[in-house]
Amino acid sequence: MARYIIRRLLWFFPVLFFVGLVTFTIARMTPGGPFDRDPDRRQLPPRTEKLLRQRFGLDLPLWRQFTRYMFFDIETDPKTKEREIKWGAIGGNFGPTYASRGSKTVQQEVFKGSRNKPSRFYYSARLGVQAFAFALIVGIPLGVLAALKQNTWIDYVSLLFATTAVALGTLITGLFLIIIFAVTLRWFSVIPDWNDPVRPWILPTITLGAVSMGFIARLTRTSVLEVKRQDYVRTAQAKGLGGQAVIWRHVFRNAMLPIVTVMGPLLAGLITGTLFTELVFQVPGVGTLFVDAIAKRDYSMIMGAALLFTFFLTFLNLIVDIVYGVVDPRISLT
Amino acid sequence: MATSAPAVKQRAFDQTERRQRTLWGDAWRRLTRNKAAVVGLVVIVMFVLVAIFAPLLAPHNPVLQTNSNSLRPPMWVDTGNPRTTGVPEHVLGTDTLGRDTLSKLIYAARVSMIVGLVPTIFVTLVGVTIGLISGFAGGWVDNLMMRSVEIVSSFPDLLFLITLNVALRDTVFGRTANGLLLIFVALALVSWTGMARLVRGQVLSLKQKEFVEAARAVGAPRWQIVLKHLLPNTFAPIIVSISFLIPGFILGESVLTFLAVGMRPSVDPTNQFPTSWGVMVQEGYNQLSSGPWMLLFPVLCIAAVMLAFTFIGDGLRDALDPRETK
Repeated sequence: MARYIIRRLLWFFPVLFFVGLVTFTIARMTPGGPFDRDPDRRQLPPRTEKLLRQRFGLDLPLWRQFTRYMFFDIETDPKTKEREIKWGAIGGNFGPTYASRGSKTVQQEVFKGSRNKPSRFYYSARLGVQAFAFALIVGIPLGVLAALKQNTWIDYVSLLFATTAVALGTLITGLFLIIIFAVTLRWFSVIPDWNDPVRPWILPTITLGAVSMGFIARLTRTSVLEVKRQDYVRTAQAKGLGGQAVIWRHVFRNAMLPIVTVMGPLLAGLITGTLFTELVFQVPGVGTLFVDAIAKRDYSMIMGAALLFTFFLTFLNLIVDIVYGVVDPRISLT
Repeated sequence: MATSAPAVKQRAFDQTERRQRTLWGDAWRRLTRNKAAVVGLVVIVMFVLVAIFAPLLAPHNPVLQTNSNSLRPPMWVDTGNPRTTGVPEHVLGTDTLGRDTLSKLIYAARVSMIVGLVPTIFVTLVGVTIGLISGFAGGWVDNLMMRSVEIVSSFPDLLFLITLNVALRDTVFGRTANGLLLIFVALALVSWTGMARLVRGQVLSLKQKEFVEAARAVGAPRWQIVLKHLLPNTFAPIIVSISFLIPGFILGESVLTFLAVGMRPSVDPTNQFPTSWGVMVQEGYNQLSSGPWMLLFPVLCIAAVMLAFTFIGDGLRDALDPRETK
C-alpha cells in the first residue's frame, strides 16, 4: 500500500513538469505581454518597464525563466556576494503576479483573504463541497427510488431528469437556471450579494452539482438493479428477511461500490465545472481569477493556476483510488 | 438462386426461407424500437436539414443590422409600447443590433453541425490508429504510447483549450474561418486519448479470442489480422463513443465561445457561416436583463441537440451490446 502511494506520488512530478512546460510554451507564444502599452491608458515609462522586466526575470533566457519558475534559481546578492537558492513552484512559491506589479504572490492571491472578504479559494472550495454534497444527497436517493420502482412512471421521470442534467452540462444548466429563477421569476438577484450567507449560493450549488447528481442517480439505479438480481439477495429474502432489511443491508451497501469508482472523474468534472459556474453566477473564486489572468497575460498566475489545478486533480484521483481500495477489499491496488 | 418460377410464387408459405439477419440489422431494429432514440434521431435529422437549407429557411439575413429594430422581444410578447412589442417579421425577436434571432439560430446550426463533425473525424482516425497499434504491438511500443496518452489526458482539458485559443487567436491560423479551424484543432487535440484507450482495450481482449488465433495459425499477415479481424470487431464501441463525442464538441464550441476564446461572429453579409449558438449564448448572456430571449433560444437549441444525442447514444449502447438483453 505504502509503495503504491509512493509510486503514484512520484508520478506527480512528470505530470506537473509536462503541464508546466506546455503552459509555459503556450503562454510565451501568445502575442502581447503583461506590460503591453494600451494606447488608451496611462503608459509605463520605458525605465519603469525595464525595471519591472528585470524584477520578474523577463530579461533572462527563456529556459532559465522556466527553470526559475518551476524549480529554483541561484541568486547572488550584489552586496554580500552570498549565493542564495530561491525556490520556485516546487517549493510552493508560484511567483509574484504581474497584475499586482509584484506586490502580491500567486499563492497570496489565491489563498489569502482579507478581514471582510474570504479568500478566492474559499469561494471555489465551498462551492465545490456544497455541489458534491448536493449531488450525493439528491442523486443517490433518486437512483435507489428509480430502481425500486423499476418500469413505473416514477422510474421514467427520475431517469429523464437525471439524463437531462448529464446531457446539458454545467454551463447550459446554469444558464437555464439563471433565465428561469433569476430573470423570469426574480427569486434571486442576477448580481449576487456575497454578504448574504445563503441566498447567492443556492443556484451555483445546484448548477455545479447537477451533472454529478444525474450521473450518480443513473449509476445508482443500474447498480441497485444489478445487485437485486444477485444470489445473496435472493438468499436473504429466502431466509425471510423483511423487504427493508434486505434493501438497506444487502442491496444498498453493495450497490454503492461503483459510485466510489466514479468519484475521481466526477470530482474532475466538478473542478472544471467550477469555471463556468463562477462565470455565470459571478462567484469571486479561483476560476474567474484564471480567466482574468489569461486576458492580462499574467504569466505567473497562468502557470500557477495550471499547476495548482493539475495538482488538485491528480491528488483527488489518488485519494479516490485509495478510498476505493479501503471500501472494497476485493480490489488490490498494486 | 436455383429455384424455379412457381416455387418463388409460393414463397409466402415457405417457412424454411428466412430473411438473412446481420449483426448490424439486428442492432438497427433494436435501436428503432427504442422510442427515445428515435425521437433523438428525428431531432438530429431535423437540425441537419435546417443547417443544409439555411439560406432557404431563414427569413432574414442573419448579419444584416437594422438599428431601428433592435432588442425586439419574440412576436407573442405584447408590452403595449409599439417600440418594445414583438412583431411578426421577427418571430423570435431581434438582438441589440437588430438582427433577426430566428435567422441567426438557423445559420448557427450550420456551425454547430460542422463543429460536431470535423473534430470527430480527426479523433476517430487518430484514436483508432494509435489504439490498434498500441494494443496489437504490445511491449515497449504499447508502453510508450500509453504513457504519452496518460500524460496528455492528465492535462486539464479546459485549461489547455483556453490557453491555446488565447495564444493563437490573433495569428493567421487563429483567424481562419473566424477562429473555427483553431477550435477544431484544439478540441481534437484534447479528445483523442479516450478513443485510443477504448480501442486499445478492445484489441487487447480481442487478441486472445480464438478467431484471431485461427487467423494467425493459417498464416494471415499481421496487417490483415489488424484490419480484417480486429478493426471490424471494435466498430460497435467506437460508434457508441462517437455518439457521445459529437455533442461534446458542439457543447465545447459553445463553452469556449462563452469564455470569449472561441468563434468570432462575422459581419460579412455573404458569409455562409456567420455565427454560432455559442456566439449567440455569449451575446445573450451580456444582455441578460434587457433581452433574456437572446439567451433563451440558443440555449434551448443546444439543450435539444445535447438531449437528442444522449438519447441516441444510450440507445446505441443498448442496441449494440447484445449481452444486455432486457
